[in-house]
Amino acid sequence: MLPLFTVAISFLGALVVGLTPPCRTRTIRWTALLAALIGLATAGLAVLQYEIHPGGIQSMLSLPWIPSLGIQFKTGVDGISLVLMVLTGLIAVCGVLFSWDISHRTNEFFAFFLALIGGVYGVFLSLDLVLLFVFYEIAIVPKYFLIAIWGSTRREYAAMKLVLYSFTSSAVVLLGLLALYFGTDLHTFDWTRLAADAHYAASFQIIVFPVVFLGFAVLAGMWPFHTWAPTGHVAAPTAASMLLAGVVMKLGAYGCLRVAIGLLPLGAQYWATWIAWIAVINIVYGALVALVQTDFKFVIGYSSVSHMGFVLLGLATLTAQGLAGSVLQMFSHGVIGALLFALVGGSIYRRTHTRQLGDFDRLIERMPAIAWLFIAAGLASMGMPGFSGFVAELHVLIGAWAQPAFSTGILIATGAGILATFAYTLAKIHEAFFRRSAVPDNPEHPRPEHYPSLTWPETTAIVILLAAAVGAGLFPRPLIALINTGLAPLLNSLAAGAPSP
Amino acid sequence: MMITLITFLPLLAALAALLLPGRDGRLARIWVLAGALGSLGLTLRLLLQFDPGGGLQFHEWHSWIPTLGIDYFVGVDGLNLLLVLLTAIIAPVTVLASWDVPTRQRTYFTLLSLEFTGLFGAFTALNFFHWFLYFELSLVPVFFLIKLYGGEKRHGAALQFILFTVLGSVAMLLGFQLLYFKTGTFDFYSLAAMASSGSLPVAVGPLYPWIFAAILLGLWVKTPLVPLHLWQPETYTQAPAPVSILLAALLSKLGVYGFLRLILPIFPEAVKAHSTLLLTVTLGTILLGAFAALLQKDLKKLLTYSSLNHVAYCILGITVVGAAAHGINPGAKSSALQGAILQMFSHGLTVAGLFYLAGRLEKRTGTRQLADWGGLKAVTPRLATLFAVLAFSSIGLPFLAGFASEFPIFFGSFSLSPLFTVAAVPALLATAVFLLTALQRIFTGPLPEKWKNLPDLNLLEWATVGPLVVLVFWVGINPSLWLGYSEQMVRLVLTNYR
Repeated sequence: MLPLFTVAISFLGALVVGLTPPCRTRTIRWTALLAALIGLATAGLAVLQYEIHPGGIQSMLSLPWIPSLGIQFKTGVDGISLVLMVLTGLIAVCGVLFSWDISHRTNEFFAFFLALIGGVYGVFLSLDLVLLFVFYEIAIVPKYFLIAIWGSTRREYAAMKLVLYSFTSSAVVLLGLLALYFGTDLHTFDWTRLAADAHYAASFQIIVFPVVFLGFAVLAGMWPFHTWAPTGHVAAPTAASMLLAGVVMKLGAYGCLRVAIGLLPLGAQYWATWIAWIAVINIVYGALVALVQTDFKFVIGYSSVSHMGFVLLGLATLTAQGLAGSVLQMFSHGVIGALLFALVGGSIYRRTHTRQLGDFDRLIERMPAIAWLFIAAGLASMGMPGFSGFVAELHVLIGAWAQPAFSTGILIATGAGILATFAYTLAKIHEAFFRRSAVPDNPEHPRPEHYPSLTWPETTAIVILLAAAVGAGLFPRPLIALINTGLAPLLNSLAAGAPSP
Repeated sequence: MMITLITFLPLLAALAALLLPGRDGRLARIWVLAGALGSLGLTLRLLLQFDPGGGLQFHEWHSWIPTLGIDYFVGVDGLNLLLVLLTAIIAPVTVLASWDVPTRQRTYFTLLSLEFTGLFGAFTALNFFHWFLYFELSLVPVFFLIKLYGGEKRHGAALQFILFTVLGSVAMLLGFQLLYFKTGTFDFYSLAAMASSGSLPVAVGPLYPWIFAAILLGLWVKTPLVPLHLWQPETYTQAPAPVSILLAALLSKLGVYGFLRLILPIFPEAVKAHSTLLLTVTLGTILLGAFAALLQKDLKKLLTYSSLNHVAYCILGITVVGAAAHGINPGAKSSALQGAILQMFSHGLTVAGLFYLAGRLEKRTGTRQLADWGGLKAVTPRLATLFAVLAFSSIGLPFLAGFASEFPIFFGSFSLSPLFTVAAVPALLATAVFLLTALQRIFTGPLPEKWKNLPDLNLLEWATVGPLVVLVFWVGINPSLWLGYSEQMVRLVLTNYR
C-alpha cells in the first residue's frame, strides 16, 4: 500500500494546487513543495520497508478492475522500481525548488507538474501491463502543456513534436502489449503471471521483442528516434527539462527492461547485438553533436542522448553487471542530467538571459559559485570517478566485456564515445566560463561584474542533486543491492532460456 | 585509520577554506597550510613506526562495491612509503610557495588542497577502482589551476595537458576493465599474486598483450616518455610556479609509481618480452630531455626538459630488470630498482626546490629568460647558493641526493644492459653542461643596472625551501637509510624476474 501513496499524494497535490487561486503564489509553491517532499519521503520509507532478503516484488496490491479483459489494478515494487521512485522524488522536490520564480499561471504550472510526477510514480509501480500503459499515457499530457505554455525556443513546435513521438511510441507499445496478451492462453495482463508462466515460443519472442522494445526505447531517446529529446528539453521550462531528462526518459528505459526484456528474454538475446550497436551510436553521435552546439541547453540535451546510450548498452548486455549498471545509469543520469538542466536552463539563464555560449564572457569571474558547481556537475557527467556516472558506466562496460556475443568493436567504439564526452565537456566548460566573449557589451545592458548569487531554493536543489551524485558514486552498494533484487529473477530466466537461435 | 586521515585531512582543509567565512580568502591559506602540515605530521609518525621488513603496513580494508570486486584497500609498503612522504613534504611547500597569490585566493587554495588528497590517495590506494578515482581526481585541480592562474598561453597548456592525460586514462581504464573481467579482481596485491603463480596470463589468454599495452599507454603519457611527452613543456612552463612544483615533483611520480605497482608485479612476462622496446624508449627520453634542455633559453623550459630526463632514469631502473642477462651480479636488479624508488624521492625534492627558486626569480624580475639575468649572486647570495646546491644534486654530485639514487640505478643497469647504459652517459654530460651554463648566466657576470635592488630570500622563502635542501643533503650523505625502506618489497617483486 505504502508505495502507492506516492501516486495518490502527487495527484492530490495537483488537484489542490490547481484549485487554489493563481494570485496566492506563496501557498501554491509551498503546497507543491510539500506534496513533492511527502512523495519523496514515502518513496524513502518504502525503501526502508522493503526487505532485501528475500527480495522480489513486495507491497503487492491487487484489485479487480476489468476482469473480463484480464486487467487488474495491480501494483507492487521491487528494488528497481524503488530506486527509480526515489529518483522521481528527488527530481520532483528539486524541480519545485527550481520553479520558485514561476509567476505566470502558477497554479496550473504546479498542477501539471505534480500530475506528471504522479504518472511517473505510477509507471514504476504498476504490475499490470494495461495499468502501466495508462500511467505512461497520463504522463504525456502534462508534458505538452508544460512546454507549450511555459516553454521558450519554438515551444509549440517542440511540444507538438514531443507529443507526436510519445503517442506514436505508445501506440507501438500498445500493439506489443496486445501481442503479449494474445500470445499465451493465460488471458491476463498481469506482469507477474506473464513473467512466470507465459513461456512464449522463441519464434514469437523474436518477432514481438523489437516491437515492444522499440516502442519504449523512443522515449528513452534511442537513435534515430531521439530527435524529440533535444528540442523538447530545450524548449521546456527548467523544471520540466529536469523532469524530462531526469525521469521521463527513464520511463522508456524502464519499460524496455521490465516489459521487453523481462517478458521476452529469448527475443532480447536474439536482438542484443543490434541494440548494442544502436546504443553505441547513441553514445558517440550524442557526444559529437553536443560538441558542435552553440546553445548551452542544446549541449545538455544532446549529452542526455549520449548518456542514455549507456543505459541502452547496459540493457543489451543482458549480464548481471551490465543490467545493474544500466539501472544505476538511469539513476545517475537522472540526477546529473537534472542538475545540468537546472544550472544551465535555470541558474545561468536567469542571470544572463542568453543561452548562447558566444555571449558568455568569463563567467568564472562573474558568477564563480555557479561556474564551479557547473564544472562539478560537468565532470560528474563526463564520468569522473567519484561521481555516480563513473560507477554506472563501469558496470555497463564490464557487463559488455562479459557478454561473449559482443565484438570488441562495440567496446572500442564506446571508448571513442567516452573520449568524445571528455571533449565536449571540457570544450563547453571552456566556452561557457573561461572564454572572453567576442560579442561586445551592450551599452544599455552591460554585463554586470558580478551576477546575483544563488537563491536559497536554487542552492538547496543543487546541493541535493550533487550530494545524490556523489553519494551514489562513492557508496553505490545500497543502490546495487536494491537493483539486484529486481534483476535476480530476470537473470534466472535469461540463464534458463535456450541459447539464442 | 592513519592513511585515511592523512589523505582526507587536506580535503577537510579544502572544505574549511571554501566554506568558512573569511575576507578575501586570507584565512583559506591558513586552513590549507594547517591541513598540509597535519598530514605531514601524521606521515612522519607513520615513517617512524614503519618496519622496513614488515611488508604491507597500516593497511585498511573495507568491502566497498562487492558486485565489481571493489574494496577500499589502502596501505604503505616499500614501494610507496617514500612517495607518501614526498607528497607530505611537497604539499606545505606548494602552499607556502603560493602565499602571495594575488587574486581569488579562496578558489586557489581549495583546488590546491584537493590536489593533495588526490595525490595521497593515488599513492596509497591498492585497488584499481579508487586508485583510478584519485588518479583522475589529481588531474582536475591542476587543470583548473593552470587554466585560471597560469601564464599567457594557459588555456592551450591546460588543454594539452588534459587531452593527453585523458587519452591515456581511457586506455588504462579499458585495459583494467578487461583485466577485471578476466581475473575477477581489481586488487593490486591479488593481481600480483596471480602473476607470480602464473595464473594471470592463463586467465587473460590472448588479450594479455593488449591489456598490457593499454595500461602502459596511460602511464607512458603520465610519466611521460617520448613521444607522448609533447604536452609537458607547455604545461610545466605555463603553470604557476607552485603548480609546476606539483607537476614535476609529484604528478610525474604517479606515472613512475604506476610502473612499479601496475606493470612490474602484474605483467612480468610482458616486461621481459618487451624489455628492448621499453629500454629504447627510456633511452630516447633520457637523451632527448638532456639535449633539448641544452637548447633552452627559458629557465622554466630548461628545468622541464631536465625533469623529463631525470624521471626517465627512474624508468630505466625499473625496466632494466626485465632485461635478459646471464651470469650477472645478483644484486644488480635489486640495486637498479631500489635506486629507481629513491630517485623518485630525490628528484621530487630537487626539482621542487629548483622550480620554487625559479618562480621566485620570475616573481622578482618578471622574466624567465636566462639572457635577462646575470650577476645576481651579488644581490641574492643566499638564493644563488641554494639554487647551486640543488643544481649540483641534479647533476649528480656525490653527497647530494641525486647521486645517491642515480648511482645505484647506473650500477644495476650497467651490469644488466651495458649497451643502453653507456648510450645514456652523454645525457649525464649534457645535464652538467646545461645546468652549469644556467648557473653562470643567472648568477655570475655583470649585474644589470635594473636588478641592483633585488631582495634576497626572506624568512618565509627560507622556511619553504630550506627543509628541501636539508633533505637533499641527508639523502646524499646517508643513502643506505633511504634505500633500506624498499629493500624487502623489491626482493619480493624481483622473484618474478629471476
